[in-house]
Amino acid sequence: MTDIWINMGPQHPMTHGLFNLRIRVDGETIVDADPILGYLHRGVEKLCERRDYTQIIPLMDRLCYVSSLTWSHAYCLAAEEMMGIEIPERAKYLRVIALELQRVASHLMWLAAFGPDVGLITALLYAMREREYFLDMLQLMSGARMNQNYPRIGGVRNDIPPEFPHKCLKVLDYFDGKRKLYRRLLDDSAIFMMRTEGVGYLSKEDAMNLGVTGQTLRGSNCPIDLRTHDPYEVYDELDWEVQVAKEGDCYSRYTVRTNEMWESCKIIRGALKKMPKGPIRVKPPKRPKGQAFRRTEDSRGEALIYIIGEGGESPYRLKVRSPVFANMRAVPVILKGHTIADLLVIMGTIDVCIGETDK
Amino acid sequence: MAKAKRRSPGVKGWVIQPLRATFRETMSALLKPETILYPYESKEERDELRKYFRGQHRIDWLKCIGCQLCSRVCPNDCITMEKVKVGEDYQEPSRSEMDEKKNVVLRPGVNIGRCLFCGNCSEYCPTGAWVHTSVVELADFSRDALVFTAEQLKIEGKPTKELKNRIEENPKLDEETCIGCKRCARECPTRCIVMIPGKKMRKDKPIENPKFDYSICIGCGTCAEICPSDSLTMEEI
Repeated sequence: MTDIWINMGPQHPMTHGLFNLRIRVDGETIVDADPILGYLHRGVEKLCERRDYTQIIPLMDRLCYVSSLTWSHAYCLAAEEMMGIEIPERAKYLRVIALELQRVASHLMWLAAFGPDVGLITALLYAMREREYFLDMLQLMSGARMNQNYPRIGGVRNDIPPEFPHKCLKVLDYFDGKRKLYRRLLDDSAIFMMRTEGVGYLSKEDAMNLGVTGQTLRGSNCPIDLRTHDPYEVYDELDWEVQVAKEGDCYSRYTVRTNEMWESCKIIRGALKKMPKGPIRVKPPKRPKGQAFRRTEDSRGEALIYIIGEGGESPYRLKVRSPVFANMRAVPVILKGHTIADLLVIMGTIDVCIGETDK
Repeated sequence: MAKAKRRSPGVKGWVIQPLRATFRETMSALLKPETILYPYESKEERDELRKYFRGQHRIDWLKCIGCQLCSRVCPNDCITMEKVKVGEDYQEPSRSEMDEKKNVVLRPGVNIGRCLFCGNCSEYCPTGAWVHTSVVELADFSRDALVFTAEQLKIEGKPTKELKNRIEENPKLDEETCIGCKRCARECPTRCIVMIPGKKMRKDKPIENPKFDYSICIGCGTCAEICPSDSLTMEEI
């Protein structure tokens, strides 16, 4: 067997960002894979040591431009736990709405990228069209379409405008109406099934041993979602279900992601209905001491922020645990035995976002 | 590899279903297109949304007091304070600045090339002088054109006397080290400091110590920064 290594990347249209995937091939079959990270390292953790607690929030937004709000929210949760403050009830609901809007937008961005991976440019156009409406809602809520800088330590930046619930429900209705279209175009399409079914199998045992989280884990019949297992904000008060798929191939990861979008719509509806009136922000202490870590369910898996404050204006240390970094460990295991043609489909379902992986 | 068992898509799934889906979308797109000719056309819903957008800044010169808080909370250091000459009418509402007799005030200018539009400046402004417009078309051919001076960002609204302490800090004095130089009282943008005779004596005269009116203090920290003997510290309310 000859030893041929092929470089996929560092620049490849599949990923958001730069990374190099080296694969060893035997003819058409992949024998080994080796993801190389580090092309997008910006030293975010080091930068945080020189900024005060407020200035870190916009920096956390830039960890991942596709789902920026979830990251700044994870940071705010960790900082709140360290400072020992409880945020008002209305702020919790506002955060849940913003987070779920961001999750749908992020999954739609994934769908738009995943479509061309399997040779379906149509999915890109449709998903981007839908994403536009969700970005509009985020703009109405926070004032910016991307990198919102919306959560604050102790609440949220601003209250929603009075016409927001009406407009948001309109968007959700529109999106629910499109469910049939996606089922016809992708879920039930024989060609799409041929590309994804039985491809990229990851067993439950392997997934748990490798520390895989998020949709990749849930696609392997393991119903772990931090929104129910370690509930934060008000997720435990709302009515929704964890999405799982039994098989563990690319198709089941696809169904978990798409079903999660409709589930997020359900969460937003519930939160809009239940949202109480009241204050949205409390005052945080300026120079806190202590340490805390908080994990949240990011759009890609388990995001963790560990923060140490030593009584100064900026934290002593801030550690970011990226979900994709851990999921990347599973790539060599999944890829083994597949052909090069399946490579893109498998990498697509992992939803690689290098911004948060390299940090 | 385990081969997953699912229901077969059938003949319909091969061609008819996806084709039907795309055909329907094509027809609806022909009747009601999603895209517009961008600079020439605009959608009504879009224009409504634009009101809430955090676009380019404008600074209400009559509200601004030149406290430099915006440049302190800015994560990217893109705000620079400029000394500008103004007429008499700026003196009372904008209590800022060095020397009132010279009619010089401090007003912020923004380097758009570094700005990340996080909105911290407008959020922490004690008087609400910072306004975000919905202007987003800011691209230009040179970097110099992205530096907006204070004059370019000027608007003139209504002056306000309302001051909010959004930093939620107040200066505290250590009387032991205060030398009574009065610099804090001169630099304070809200004029919340008056000098009163203290306990310590110098040449048989009591040293004048600052006394703060915390009701109009905005917690900008200018006094603590300017103090030559480091006898002022910012403490939480």
